[in-house]
Amino acid sequence: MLIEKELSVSIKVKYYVLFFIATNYCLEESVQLGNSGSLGELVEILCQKYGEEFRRSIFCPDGSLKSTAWFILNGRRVGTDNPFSVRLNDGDEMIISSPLLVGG
Amino acid sequence: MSKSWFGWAGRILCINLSTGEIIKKPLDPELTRKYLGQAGINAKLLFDLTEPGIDPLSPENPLIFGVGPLGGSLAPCSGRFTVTSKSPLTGIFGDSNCGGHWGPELKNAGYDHIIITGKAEQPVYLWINDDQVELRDARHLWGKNTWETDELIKTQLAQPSAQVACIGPAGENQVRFAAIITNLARAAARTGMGAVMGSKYLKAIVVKGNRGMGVASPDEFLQTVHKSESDIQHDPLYEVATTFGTTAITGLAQMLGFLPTRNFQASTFEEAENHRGEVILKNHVTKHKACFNCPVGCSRFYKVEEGEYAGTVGEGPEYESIAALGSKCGNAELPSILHANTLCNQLGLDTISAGNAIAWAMEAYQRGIIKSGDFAGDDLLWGDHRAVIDTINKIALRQGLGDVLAEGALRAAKKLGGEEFVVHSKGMDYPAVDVRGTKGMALAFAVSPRGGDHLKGLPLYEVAPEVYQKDIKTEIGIDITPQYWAEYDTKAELIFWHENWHCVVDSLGLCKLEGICIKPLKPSHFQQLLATATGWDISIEELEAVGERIWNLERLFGVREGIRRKDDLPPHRLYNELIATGPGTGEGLDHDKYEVMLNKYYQLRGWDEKTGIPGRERMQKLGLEKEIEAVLSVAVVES
Ligand code: SF4
Repeated sequence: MLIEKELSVSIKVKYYVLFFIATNYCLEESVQLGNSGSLGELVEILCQKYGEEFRRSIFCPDGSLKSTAWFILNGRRVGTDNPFSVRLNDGDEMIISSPLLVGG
Repeated sequence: MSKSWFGWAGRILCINLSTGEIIKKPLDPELTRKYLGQAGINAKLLFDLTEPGIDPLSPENPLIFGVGPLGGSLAPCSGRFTVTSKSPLTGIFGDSNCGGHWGPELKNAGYDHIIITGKAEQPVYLWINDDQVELRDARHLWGKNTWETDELIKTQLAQPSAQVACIGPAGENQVRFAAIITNLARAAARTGMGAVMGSKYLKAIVVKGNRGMGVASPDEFLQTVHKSESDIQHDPLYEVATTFGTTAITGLAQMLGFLPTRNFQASTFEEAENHRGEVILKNHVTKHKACFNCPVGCSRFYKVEEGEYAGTVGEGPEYESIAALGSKCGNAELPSILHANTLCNQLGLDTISAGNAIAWAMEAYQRGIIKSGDFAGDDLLWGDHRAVIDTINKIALRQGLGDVLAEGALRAAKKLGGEEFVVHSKGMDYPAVDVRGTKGMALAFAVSPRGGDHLKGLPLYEVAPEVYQKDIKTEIGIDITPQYWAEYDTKAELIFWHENWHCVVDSLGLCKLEGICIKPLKPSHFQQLLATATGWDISIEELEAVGERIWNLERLFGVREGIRRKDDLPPHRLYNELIATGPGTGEGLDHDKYEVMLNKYYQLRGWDEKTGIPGRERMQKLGLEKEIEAVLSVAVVES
C-alpha cells in the first residue's frame, strides 16, 4: 500500500479555451495516473471521462494531434514530436489549451 | 442613392463647425481606385487638408469619419468605420477603427465620409437623417457621460434606433487619449480622436439611414458572402472567437509569458488565473453580442453580482482592457477591471492608454519619482484597485494627478521624470504584448505609423506557427519553423505583407478579428467581395498595391511631422532590459539583429535606410509623387 502510494502520480490539469468548453466548463482538477504516468495516459483518461467532444478537440479524424491542441507542462510547451510519450511526475501542472488571436 | 455607385454611397458630407456650413460633395471615383475607402480615403483627405505643425486640438485639424465599400453590406463583419485626424496624443497620423452599427447606418444614410472642420461656438451635435442634416444645440448634453448622452439624444429625437457616436467628459476635457463611443461600448479609442471631437465642441454625431446600398453583381456577391461566412465558421478557432472573444488570450499570454505586468516590469502575473476569459465566462457573462452582420459575435455583456462592484454592467472587456486595467497595474481584482472598463466607456477613454498611464504613475511612485503627498490623495500603489478607479475618474475630469496623466504617460514623464519606463513608440502606449519574445511583433509595433500598436500589422501567426504554417507558405511564401516567434529572419517580409493587407481590410470596412489576412479570410476573399460588390475588375496584386500606397501615405504624414528611423525602435524598456519572469526569462531584443531586420524592412518598403524617409522612386511607382515632393520639401527645409 505504501509503495503504491509513493508511485501514484497526481497531476493538476487546467483547461483553457476550447478544452474548458469540452470539459463542460471545468477550470482545473487533479487527475491520478497509474505508475507509468505519461501524457498519453493522461489524455486517454480525459477522453474517457469527457467523451467524444473532448477527443475530437485533441485528435484529427486520422488520429494525429490537432495543431490547435497545446500541452503546457510546468510552464513549458510540450513539443509536437511524439508528445504522448512525455513522462509526467507527481505534482506536475499541465495546461491543455488552444491558441488564439492577439488583439482586442 | 446614385445608380452609378455600387458599394460606396458616392457622397462626402462636409461640415464646417465655425460657419455652420453643410455641404454634400460627390465622392471622386479616382480616389476610391487609389485608396478604396474608409481608412484609406480618410488618410488621403487628412494629408491634403492639413499643413505640417498644426496643433491637433486647434480648429485647423479636421476630424474625418469614413466607412468602406463593403461597410454596411452583407459581407461578414462589415460593421466597421474609421475616425482619422492628427493625433493629440502623438502629434502624428492618428486613426481609430470601431465596430458596432454606426458605420453601416452612415452608409445607409447615403454617405461614405464626413469631414468636420473648424470649431463650434458652443456645444453642438450633428443629426443626419438621410438627406436632412443639421447641427443642433448640445449645451444640455455637455458634461453628460456617453451612456446618458446616447439615451437623451435618442429620446429627444424620438429615434430609438438611431446610431450615436459621442464623447464623454474625457473628450470634452481634451484628454489626449479620449475615445469616441458608439453603442455604449464600441470605442474608436486609440490616438485621442475623442479629444479632437471635444476641441471642436462636437458632442455627438447621430445617424439614421434608410437609403440602403447597392452591389454590382448581387448573385455573385451573395455566393462570395456565403463562402466567406462558411470559411469563418469552419475555422478551427471559430468556436474560441465566438465563445470567448479576445478574453481567451489572457490565459495564453500568461502561459507563454507575454502578459505585461506592473508596467512591463514582469511578463507574467501571479493573479492572472483570476482574469482568464474562462473565469469571466463562468462568473460574469450574461449574453453574447455581435456587431452589424457578424457571424462571430465575439463580444459579451457582463454583470458583477457581488461585492464592492456589484451592479456593474457593460460590454467586453477585450483582452487589451483586461491587461491594461489589470496586470499592467498589478490589479488582481477582476470585478474592479469590469467596473473600470465600464467607466472608461462611460467617460470616453481609451482603456489601453488609461491603463498604461496609471501603470506608469504607479511605477513612478514605486521609484520615488512621484512622492507620497505630491498630489494630495492620489498615492498609487501596485494592485490598489480603488486607486485605479479613482484615477480613471480624475483623468477624465482632469483633477489632481489625473490632470497630468490626461496628457498621456509620455508627456507626464517629461514633466515629472521617468521617461525611460514609459512603454511607447512615437508617443503611443503599447498594447498588452511583451514583444521581447516575439520579434516580428517588436518590429510591427515599433514601425506603426500611428505609434505603438498591434492593429496596423499584427503578425499573430508568430505565436501559433503550426496552425498557420501552410497558409503562410501559400500566401506569403515564407517557410516557418516551430520556434518562429523567436526568429528575426523573414520577419520583415511577414510584417510588410501584413501591413499592406491590414490597410486593405481597414479600407474595405471589415473587422480585422476575422479579416486578419491569412485565416479565416484571406486576400482572395477580399478581392472577390470587393469585385462582386463594386463591379471592379481588380486583381489581388492591385489590391495589395493599394494597401502599400495607404501604408506609405500614413508614413509620409509622420515623416512630414519629423518621424525618422530613431522613432522606429522599440520602447527603451523592451529594447534594453531582459524579460524578468516566466517562460521567457532572460529573453531580450538583440540590437544588431533588430537593426538588420529594420534595414530589411526599409529595403522592402523602398525607404532610406539612414533616415527612414520613403524613397522618391517607390513613391512615384505607387502614385504618391505629389505627396513625396510635399514631404521632401519640408524635410529639406528642416535639414
Ligand atoms: S468579430 Fe467581434 S469585433 Fe469583429 S465585427 Fe464581429 S463581433 Fe464585432
